[in-house]
Amino acid sequence: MKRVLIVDDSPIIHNLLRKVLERNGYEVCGDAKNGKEGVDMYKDLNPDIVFMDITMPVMEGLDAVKLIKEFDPEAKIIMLSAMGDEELKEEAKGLGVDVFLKKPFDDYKIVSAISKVV
Amino acid sequence: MDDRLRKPFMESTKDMIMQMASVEINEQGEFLDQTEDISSYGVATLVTFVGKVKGRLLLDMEPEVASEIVKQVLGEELNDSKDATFMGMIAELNNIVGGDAITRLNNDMSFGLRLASPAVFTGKNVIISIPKIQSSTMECQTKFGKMRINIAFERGGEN
Repeated sequence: MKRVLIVDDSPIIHNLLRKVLERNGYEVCGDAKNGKEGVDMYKDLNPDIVFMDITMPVMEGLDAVKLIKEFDPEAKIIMLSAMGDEELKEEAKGLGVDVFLKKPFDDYKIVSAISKVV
Repeated sequence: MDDRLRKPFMESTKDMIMQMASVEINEQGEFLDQTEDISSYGVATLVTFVGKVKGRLLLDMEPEVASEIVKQVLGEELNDSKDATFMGMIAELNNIVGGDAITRLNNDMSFGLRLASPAVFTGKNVIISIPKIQSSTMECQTKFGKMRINIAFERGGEN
């Protein structure tokens, strides 16, 4: 079973995304509330996939992606953000983000994104 | 206010709320300049954005509208608008609506806007003061009650 780390400052997104992931056969191995927690948890948990928000307190998602990729260039990261303009997508791609998803999401969107990275 | 600035917010509000909660929003008339303070319908959420211009989006709705959105998205009935999950859901709604609108603005007008975290206020007739910033309001109707969208840009959105 693939293990997923969720990094988002919204508990609502954690709950909704966890439900989608679990009913599609994935295990949520960690819930981080900001980018810094996400980086720390990545190092501890070594998940197969990371879902990463952008706008978060303490450390933003793009900064966290950079640090995770420095630690593990093979990390599989799916950006999941309310924003999704071309400039932002390009920046994320340049940092090594595998898939960029815009909220809101449903089962199909999440499962399709995962299938592209694993 | 330039219609190119406020139109994306109206479209995103309608599209996102329909996608997330299947609630149809019908505009009542046109955008009007907001010259006085707003007396809230009961549940209000505010998100600010900054880039080449600064502004904010206020979604204000009757508690019944908010409850229906929360019920549709979370799959559970929460009628206490002071409940943390209820408020979190409404904040996330504004985050998604605001995010979609500024994505459209960034793609069309290269504003380089970024969102801040949203805030939620609850309580009927809470006064929302409009400082010296140009703002426009669209009154809307849903099957579950009233809603309004108020958009503000500093200096009317001029760079």
